[in-house]
Amino acid sequence: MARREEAAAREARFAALVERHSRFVYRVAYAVVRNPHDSEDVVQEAFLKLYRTGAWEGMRDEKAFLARTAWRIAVDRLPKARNQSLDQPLSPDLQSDDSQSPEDAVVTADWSAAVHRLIDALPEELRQPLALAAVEELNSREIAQVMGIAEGTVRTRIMRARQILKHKLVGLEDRYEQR
Amino acid sequence: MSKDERDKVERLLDDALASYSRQEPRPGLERRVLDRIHTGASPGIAFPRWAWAIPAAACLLWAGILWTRHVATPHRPQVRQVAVTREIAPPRAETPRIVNHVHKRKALPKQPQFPASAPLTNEERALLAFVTHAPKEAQEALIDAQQHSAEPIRIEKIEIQPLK
Repeated sequence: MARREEAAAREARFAALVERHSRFVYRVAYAVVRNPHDSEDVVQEAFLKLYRTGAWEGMRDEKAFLARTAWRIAVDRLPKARNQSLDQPLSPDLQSDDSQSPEDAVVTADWSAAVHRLIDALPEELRQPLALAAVEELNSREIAQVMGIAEGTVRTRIMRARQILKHKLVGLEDRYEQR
Repeated sequence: MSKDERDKVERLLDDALASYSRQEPRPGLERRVLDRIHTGASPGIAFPRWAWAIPAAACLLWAGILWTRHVATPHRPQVRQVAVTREIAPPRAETPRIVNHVHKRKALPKQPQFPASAPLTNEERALLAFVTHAPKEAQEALIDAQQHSAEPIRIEKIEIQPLK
């Protein structure tokens, strides 16, 4: 009887954890995979993994732990071609996989789409800290924990990503004004 | 780049990045997560990290048993015979020698009498019983019959009458 009550209490605690953090985990997943369907799969897989291993009961920092679990699963889902490293040179126009280039988007005056395409075209090592920083609940220290890198490296990469994006946006704007 | 341009670029960037934090899942995500957990897993099926040691130990144990059996088995004489045959036989240049590993049938023990005595037939057994238990007269008659049979057979001259 006591064991059954204990199991029920455990279930309730886990349900509360899902209730508290599933949206946050979803946003972390989305920052990596950028696809609602895959993001939901990542959320489900992350919670399922935690439940199976029982690791959720010993979590000190729930947010950091969940973000790291989700981030790892999401990175594993990325196509290998996307998961390029910083050692590889950036393409001249930072074009993404979509058919419309940033220039095309600018011509149609869709600046927001152009910026998104430029962000998507960044190497994953720059794009992920930038996108995770945009998830409001995560600061540099937490992003460093999630990605398993130094906090200083996170700041450097975010700064570098922003510089590249600004540089490319200015270039696009100049070309747009010349037309 | 002018200050206005810089501000515009910053604003564009911040707006685009803010979309990451505005992402919302389809309604009912929590319910779907819990449903999947309850249908697809139970906490009892998680294996501990040392679980791999059990099959590994079983494999080692099995290998040990096999090795012990192999060592305990004595060498069979047939194997030695095959080896000798190989050494004596002249090597063939073209066709590789195929060693016949079929076990030879064990030779039967050498019999004191050849051909080996067959078991008695019913008639022989009846005769033996008669000789053993028969009265004296019968034995004499038998001996007499044997003596007669030892004598050369005499064939009376046959007279053939000419045909009339």
